[in-house]
Amino acid sequence: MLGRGELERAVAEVLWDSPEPMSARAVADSLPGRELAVTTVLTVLARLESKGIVTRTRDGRAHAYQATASREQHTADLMRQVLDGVGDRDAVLSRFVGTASEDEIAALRRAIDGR
Amino acid sequence: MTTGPELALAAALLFGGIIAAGPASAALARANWPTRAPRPALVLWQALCLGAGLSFIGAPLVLALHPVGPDLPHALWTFVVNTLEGRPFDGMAWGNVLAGFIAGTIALILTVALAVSFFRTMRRRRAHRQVIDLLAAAGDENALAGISVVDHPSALAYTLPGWHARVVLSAGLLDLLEPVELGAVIEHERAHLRVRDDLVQLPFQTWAAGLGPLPGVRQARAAVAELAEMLADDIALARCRRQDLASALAKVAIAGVEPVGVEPGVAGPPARAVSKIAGGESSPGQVLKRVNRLLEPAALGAPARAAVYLLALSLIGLPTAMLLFGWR
Repeated sequence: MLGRGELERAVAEVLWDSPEPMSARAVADSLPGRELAVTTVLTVLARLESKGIVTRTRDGRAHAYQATASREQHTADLMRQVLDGVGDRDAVLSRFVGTASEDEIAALRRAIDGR
Repeated sequence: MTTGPELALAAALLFGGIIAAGPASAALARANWPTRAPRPALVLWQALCLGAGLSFIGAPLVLALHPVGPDLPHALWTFVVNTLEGRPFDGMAWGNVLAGFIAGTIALILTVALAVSFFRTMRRRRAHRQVIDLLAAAGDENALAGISVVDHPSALAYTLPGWHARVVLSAGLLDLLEPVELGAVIEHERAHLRVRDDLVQLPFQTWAAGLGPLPGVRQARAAVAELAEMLADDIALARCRRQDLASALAKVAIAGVEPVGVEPGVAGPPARAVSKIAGGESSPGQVLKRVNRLLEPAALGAPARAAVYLLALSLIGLPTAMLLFGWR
């Protein structure tokens, strides 16, 4: 039995790997080695949609689902937020090291080279 | 309103509050000793903040309630009883009512601002965590248990605090650091989670966001953030070597400016170097300060630490005692 988080990841990965929009049925079928009800997959897709990972378009009588952006782009966007210091202003996250100035970099270089 | 001891008390509270929020905060933000004792310094910051808040609410409250009792507990009790009997302003002149209104407004603004900031932060963290959980490979082997690793070439390590906390490392960081240095980074991040210093920082973030233009508020926020990092460094040292943490700090800071890798640009192929990004509000020289204090430790002695805690206690105790002992 898969946990909720793992199932979401598996579904997201199917859509990230797919160049075309997919129906919920197709997503369920392409989850390797798993017998999942389409309703279960629809629930997961709805959650992914609310997280902004997936969009839905009308395709005849059903819906077609596709990823809003590639996996790499999501990662790049998220890390960009971290680097831009969203957390510095709002305590959302705490970074190991903040942005250092040029002078500081030079001094740090001397500090680690000196040992 | 009659003049009397209540006026002197209110003036003393207001004066104390202004000193705490102004010159005292500025001096503490400039001082060098907090680097040598981050935990006592953080406690002192909290006491300064709380003491100032008590004084600013207490001063108008004294002016409002002095006609109905000899000290704050009695006067508050009388006010509550009067209110329950449907005549809240019994014995109070219009000036007293106005002062009470001011006290209530200040208390309400501070509380609401803090609550809004708290829930907004929680919401942003949750959104970030949900995407991280989809993108990151959960490290399930050896030392990386419970840590999310994102496939990104720049060297990054950070913590998302909260009930469902995450420590996030980037692939670039794993490439950049030696295993012992990586261990030191992880200990630092876990220290943040254990101390929950995000909760200590929250009020300062809130005031900085709301009262940003006032002098000293931003410096206080930056000083508290820096001390939280230093405290996490110190706690990490129980489980890693000073040299390893120091070199991890230096390497990651240097990599932050120089491209260690390239990231896929939003528009696709022409890959763009990760370079220095403006906007981070870390105080200048912070990394160097942290590295230096790791390599040349000079922790404050026990008596000095005790003195700081005592000072913190008196900053909260003094306004409290003034309100309890009253004006008659």
